[in-house]
Amino acid sequence: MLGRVARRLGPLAVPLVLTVILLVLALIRSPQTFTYVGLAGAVLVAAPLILSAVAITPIAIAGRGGVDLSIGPLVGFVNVTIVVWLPAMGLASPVAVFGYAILMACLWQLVLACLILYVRISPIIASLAGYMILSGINLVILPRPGGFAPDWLADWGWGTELRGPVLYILVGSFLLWFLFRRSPIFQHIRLMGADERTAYASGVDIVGARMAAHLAAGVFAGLAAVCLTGQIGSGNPLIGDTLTLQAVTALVLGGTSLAGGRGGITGSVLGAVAMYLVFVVLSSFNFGNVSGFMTQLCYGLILVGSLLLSLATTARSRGAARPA
Amino acid sequence: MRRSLIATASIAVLAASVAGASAQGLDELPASIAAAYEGVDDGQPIGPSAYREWTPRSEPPWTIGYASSYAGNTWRAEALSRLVDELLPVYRDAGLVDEVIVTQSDLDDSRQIQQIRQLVDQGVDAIVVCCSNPVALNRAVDYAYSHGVVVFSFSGYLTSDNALNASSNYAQGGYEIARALIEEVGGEGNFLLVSGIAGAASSESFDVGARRAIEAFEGADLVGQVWGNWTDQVAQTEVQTFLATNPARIDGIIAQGSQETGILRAVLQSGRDVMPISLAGSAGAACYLRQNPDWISHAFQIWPPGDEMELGFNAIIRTLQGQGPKVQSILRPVYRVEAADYVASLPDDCSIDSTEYIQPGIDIWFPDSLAAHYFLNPVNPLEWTPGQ
Repeated sequence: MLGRVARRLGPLAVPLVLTVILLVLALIRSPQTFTYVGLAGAVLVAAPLILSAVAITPIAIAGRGGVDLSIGPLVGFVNVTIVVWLPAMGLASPVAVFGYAILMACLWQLVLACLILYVRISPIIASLAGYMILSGINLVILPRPGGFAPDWLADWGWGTELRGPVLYILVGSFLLWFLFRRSPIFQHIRLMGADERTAYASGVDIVGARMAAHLAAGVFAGLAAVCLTGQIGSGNPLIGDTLTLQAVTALVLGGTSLAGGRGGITGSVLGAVAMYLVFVVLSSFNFGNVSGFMTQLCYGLILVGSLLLSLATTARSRGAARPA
Repeated sequence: MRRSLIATASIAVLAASVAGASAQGLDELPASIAAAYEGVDDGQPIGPSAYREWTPRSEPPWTIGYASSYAGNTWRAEALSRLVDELLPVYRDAGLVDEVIVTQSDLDDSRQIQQIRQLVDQGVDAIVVCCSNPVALNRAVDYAYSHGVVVFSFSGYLTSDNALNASSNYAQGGYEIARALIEEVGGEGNFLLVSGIAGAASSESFDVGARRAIEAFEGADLVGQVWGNWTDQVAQTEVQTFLATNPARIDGIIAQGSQETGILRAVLQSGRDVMPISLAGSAGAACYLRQNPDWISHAFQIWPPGDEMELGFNAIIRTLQGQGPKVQSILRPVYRVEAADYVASLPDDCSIDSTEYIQPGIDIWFPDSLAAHYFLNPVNPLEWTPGQ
């Protein structure tokens, strides 16, 4: 029975089970997280990671080992330019900030797509180069954390109202993904990710599909940057270093195949939520003066265990699906 | 007539309150202490504190949260050790603290925000943070304040009006340390600057001061800058690379603290004569000074890890006791010490590979006599009684 359910869920089985286990643990260890204010804070804190994980999902589905390592510095770039460039241009309205954030992130993703398509650089190398370039640029634009987000945006950081802009952005993003997923171009992205040559031979517009995957990533990355700026109310040129690692972990934890062709944001969102809950549960323990090492150790063990289970489940479901 | 009298009286009351307000904060400090605030970072809040007449949400023993942002170097380990192994037992015996809850966010602002909020919701009475993003935590600090929890940042600052801070004046410290080193080598020459972490607020503040000192000497040239991440091993690698690829003579290395042992190792491995290096608390490099007394005449203390933690903890307990901190930021000048005094505590068989710290001790770094100036109702926190 359980095996059948697990097979039906496929790659979502492990992140789903992990999330449920962590939810129960968090409920026991940190019940305050599930109050109205606690949930508002959780949405505020988890949103940038969730949206970053969502952003890199279509690129991973598009194949060629496309893990967008530049996602963290990209979110950081939009974050620091929102607090440095936009005020200098006298732009602080919500329309300007959202428009700018999405436009800049999409432009960056188009640059990456062009490098991959026309210069034929491997996606992971292109995004790694992008990671380094943007990390440097961010420090040039804002040498140290500082600056101020527009007041309306900084007020998001209170995180005491659950039904607020951050929740609406998350819900809007999920709806957007739902529409995108039903579009023909998404099917092209999946086909291309599963087997690019076959897709090309079948008449799939390879260039258009990859561009679309990157543009979708740009939209979600821009929204992640806006949420992050609202959360910290300022700019942080170093924010990207940890965000990349966490977003990629959430992606893999969510069962999206780095080989391409398989995955979706349900898994990525579950992966990001699971990671958030790991932080909540670990923070509820007091490890004293070994807390840093214990936290890292537990965090690493949970991730490795989950990934191994995920791989085992995927291999089993493939085996079951293979004709005798 | 009556209206004009009321108006005149109102103006007088307003003027008196404005005068009263302006007399709060820095104006209450003795001139010698207020001098430490000169040239401070623009962003560092130095107004009257929000905790002058504040009372905590519960009676002692209090629960303290330590929302650490990082745990991966010896400085952080030493600070945490002072808190858990030394301060907690003493304050627990005194009935002032029952528990210290430690969290770690691995330099992730989002995680630290979540942890601060979680600590507040768990019921801690005060939260200590260290060396974090000065702005990102502000809303979490305000969240804590609205729940009656004080947040105290040591060895760095937060810009929220509801935060309390304690640190050295890093910009001034960078200036003093660089100037002393340049003077040590005769006021001219080529200098390498070894900074902390690119993008970290206190690292950048130090560098601003150091560059100001270099510019003040006509014959002094900054020929390079590397980032040692306040970690000996990183600093060693970066300086090794620099020395291997830059054949120019280096007359002195201006360095932020917590990495001079690594820098010294790099210079020794390069085969060059060991030029003067800024010393600021690392026992390994201090041991080399003990073995080579003519190397450099002085050292500084800018952020001794244990003492900085104790300063922050001492101040937060005083705040919980209602002693009323006068200003948002307790700033103290860097502490210069002559070479002989600096190495006096080292044993004869000291090692230049030591990762320990030489610290001035709380009796020098933040003695009661100094603390008394920063609080409205000062008393040694361990001698305080409820209702005092």
